[in-house]
Amino acid sequence: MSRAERVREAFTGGRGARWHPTDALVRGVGLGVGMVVLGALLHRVELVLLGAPLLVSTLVALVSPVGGTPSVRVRALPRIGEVGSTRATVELDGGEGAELMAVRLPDGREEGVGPVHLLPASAGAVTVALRRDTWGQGAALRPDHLVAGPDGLLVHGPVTAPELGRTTLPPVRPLPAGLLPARPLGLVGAHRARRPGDSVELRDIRAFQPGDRLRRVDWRVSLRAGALHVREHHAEADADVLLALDTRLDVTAEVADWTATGRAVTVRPGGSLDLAVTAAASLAAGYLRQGDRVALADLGRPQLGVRAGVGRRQLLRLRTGLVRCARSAGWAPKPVLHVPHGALVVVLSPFLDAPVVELTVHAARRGNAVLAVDVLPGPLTPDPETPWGPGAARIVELEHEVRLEAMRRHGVVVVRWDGGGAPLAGALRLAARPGRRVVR
Amino acid sequence: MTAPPERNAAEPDGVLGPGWPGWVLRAAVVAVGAAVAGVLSANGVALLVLGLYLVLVGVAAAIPASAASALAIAYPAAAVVLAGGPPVRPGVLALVVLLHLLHVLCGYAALLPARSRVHPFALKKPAVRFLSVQLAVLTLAGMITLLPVSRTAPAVEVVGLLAAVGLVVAAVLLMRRKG
Repeated sequence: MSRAERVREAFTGGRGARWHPTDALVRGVGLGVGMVVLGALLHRVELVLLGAPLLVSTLVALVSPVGGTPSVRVRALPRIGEVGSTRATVELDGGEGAELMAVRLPDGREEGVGPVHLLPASAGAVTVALRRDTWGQGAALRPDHLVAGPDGLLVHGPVTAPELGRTTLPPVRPLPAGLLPARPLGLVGAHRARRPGDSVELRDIRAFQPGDRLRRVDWRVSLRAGALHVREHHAEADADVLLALDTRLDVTAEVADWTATGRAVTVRPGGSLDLAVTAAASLAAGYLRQGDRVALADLGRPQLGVRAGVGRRQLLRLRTGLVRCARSAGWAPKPVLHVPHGALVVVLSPFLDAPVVELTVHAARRGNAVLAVDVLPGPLTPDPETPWGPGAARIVELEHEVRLEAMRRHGVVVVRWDGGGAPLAGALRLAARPGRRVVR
Repeated sequence: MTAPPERNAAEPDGVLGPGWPGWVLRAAVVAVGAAVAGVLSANGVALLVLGLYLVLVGVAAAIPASAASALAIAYPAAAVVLAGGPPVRPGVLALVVLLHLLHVLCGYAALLPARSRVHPFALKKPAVRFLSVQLAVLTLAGMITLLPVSRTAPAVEVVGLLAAVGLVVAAVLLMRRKG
């Protein structure tokens, strides 16, 4: 056995990965023999009778030989899935003479790797329900096992099995389709472009120029004006959408928890990162459904971004990317964002610091349509353990409002994410109005 | 040809069910211990001794892989011998069943953490083996009641002594081999 194999064995095999006797064997043999012999020596039949079952059952259990290497294999485990319940199959092989297996398996009622189940070693394949109520990466199965012979006199294990993870994708909330500011790229798609094209939406009526098609001539206007005029239509185009996720902060409405450490989860349920990821997944699904190209950028870790793409596979790629970003979330002093020209930029952040606001405004001043999605949970609950709690929370709220107002003044559409699409749809409708211009 | 897998605790849709909570085995240890205490009380064992025994049963239920389990089995046997009386009487026969059950329950409870799940169908084979052993031992007890009570011949005593020594030696060898 090589060194690597020995190290792997030490980590995955556990200390008890061999057949060895238990206390029950010692008890059965010791008390059985002891009581029978003592009863015989002292001529006390009751002692013999009391010791006989222990001795006989121990001998009966030991008659059947146990051996081999038990194994537990997991098959049909979906590595990526949605929030909810799914199934996996676990194959149990207890080895020769094994009677019982104690295997750690999920019971479908709680999240996690589940409790230890006592099953017969001859159970074969067992189907288990895996349940996840929250998105993210987590352990789905860790089939630690212990195999026991008859009456538990000889056991193999306990063996600590390797953990099998599963990625649960963030949920997608339905959003109204078609609402998007007119800032597209390309010449095909679902959105009205500024340039002339072949859609049915009228852009202008102008004098005929060489090269114009005859079918575009507006005869009524031409007769009235005495010269040929043509009807010019808008083009329809796909949009490039960049979802910029601020993973540097993850805060809840409880201000006292903002500095809490040692939490077991990577993302606080109901926190700003949870809301931002859900909003990003929902927006991505909405835009991809109407044929747009959607990309993902992590403001804290730019290398974790996802390139722009279209289609259902891109949605899967983006949702997986969101989970990866959330797993690596952590504070970074300076957010980084590379904005493609002409793209709609959606910044999802709690906007609790100035750099992210500066970055958002900078994107708007470059000429991009920018949508700021505020994911700060609210209203904020002050820290009850300090008299400064209400004051501190109020200052945070006021600073937050000032930042949002500053972005509005620079032409950034600011909208608060409440888990649904209504405010977002309203804001996008406003942003899509033809008269709206960005302050440069 | 391999045997077909046993019917497991699957729910109707084929998924492994929750089974019973793991503390059921430990509760069974306590229940059997209480029954043993009741038998001892009926045989005239003092209350203080019974109280100590119940403490021992509690420790055995909490830590089934400890020496408390062995003591919880040996203690009533010693008490019955010291109490005296006919060798085969209802109290002794009840203890034959209960102490064996206590031994088996402690053995299985020691395999599982307290927060575990027990699927009853897993205990089918052990239950069959328990009943078989009990049937054999109670048959032996019945045969003992039929034997005449008389002084044993010295030769039989010597053979019995040798058999006892052989049993002890076999047990020691068995323990060394398995250990």
